Amino acid sequence: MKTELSEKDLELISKSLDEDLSEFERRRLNQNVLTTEEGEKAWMRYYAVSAVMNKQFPENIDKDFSQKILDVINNDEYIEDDTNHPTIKRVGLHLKQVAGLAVAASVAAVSIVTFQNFNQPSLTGSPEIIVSEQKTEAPNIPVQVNTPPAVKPRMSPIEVPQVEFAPAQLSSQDVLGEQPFAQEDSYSQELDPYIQNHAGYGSERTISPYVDIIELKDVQK
Amino acid sequence: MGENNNDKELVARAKAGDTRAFDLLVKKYQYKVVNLVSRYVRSEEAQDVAQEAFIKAYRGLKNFRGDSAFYTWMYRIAVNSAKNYLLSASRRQSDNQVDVDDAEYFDDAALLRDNTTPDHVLQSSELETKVFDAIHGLPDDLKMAITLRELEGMSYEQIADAMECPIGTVRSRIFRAREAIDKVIKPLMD
Repeated sequence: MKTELSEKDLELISKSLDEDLSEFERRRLNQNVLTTEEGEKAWMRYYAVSAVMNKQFPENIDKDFSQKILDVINNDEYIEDDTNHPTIKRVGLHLKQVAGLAVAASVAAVSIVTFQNFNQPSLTGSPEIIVSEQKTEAPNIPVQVNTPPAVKPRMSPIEVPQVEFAPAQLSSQDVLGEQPFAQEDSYSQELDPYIQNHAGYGSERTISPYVDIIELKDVQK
Repeated sequence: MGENNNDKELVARAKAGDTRAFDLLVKKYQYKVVNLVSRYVRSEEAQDVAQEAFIKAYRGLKNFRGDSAFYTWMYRIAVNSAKNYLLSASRRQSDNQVDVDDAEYFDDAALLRDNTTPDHVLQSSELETKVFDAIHGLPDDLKMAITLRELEGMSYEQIADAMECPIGTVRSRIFRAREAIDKVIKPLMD
């Protein structure tokens, strides 16, 4: 876009050099003047004069100095914009959907396997329990399905035989291996006064482990 | 003449991907940056290093928080680029080997490679002569106003006091001086 600049436009550039622009003028400069080719060139020339006067103008400078930089950074932009290409976007969206489905499918598979494992009867039980019932749907034809009484549906609750646990019996060898009781007693003798002296400092919760030891001592006695 | 709001706007636009806005910053500071870099490296290489510095600045613009002025930030990048270039050049010299990659020192060497012809280069001596000739040819009031502003760095208020005239007159005199110089250098630069 090549348009002739008015005197007012050039004055805006001059004021910009001296940081003397009002907000309105600044907007006008950026939106109306510096968006034109002539405006950009005048902007560059004004700064060149300022650099020459301040002895800051380099010995030799390429007239296309800024254009070369612009070419490189526009090339950067092109590379960045590749990620916004419609094909890449579509593939990305598709991949996202596939990944979502894969996650959902794996979660479902894990849930089913876990559920089946929970309902799997014990192998020690009757082999009849494993047999699953086949459902037949034939409402119009009367069919009599003879289900053996021992066969139970796979999804039904399983009757777990009641197990009676025998109370654990601790022997001195279980706790201390081959060590004699004498050593155990020496520990207790050290601990007892400690517990008595320190019981007042802590809550019951704090000293409860020692209570267990006393009980053990009682059992041993 | 407070802080540079126009630079802030150009930086904000460049950050948003407006390369034309960054181009305006380059056009504004290119002379100062090349001149700065040429204090560290030879003048033939200064331009390449300065271009690389501007490209680095553009790529690192997202990290520029705006705590300092754009030029202060740019100044540091330019100096670091020049120092890195010197370091790299000394390493290559000590290697004492001819490497084809030497020609590709910069990542963007292909795009920045110097293929300029002499008529494409602005000769500073020629430009200087034109500018100072134009200043000498200015009426005294314009000459004084532009000299006090550019060479002495005085504010409009200070110039108004010195020249015993309103600020508006100072502004106008400075602009008319610049306009007269611009007319002289325009054929040389375009």
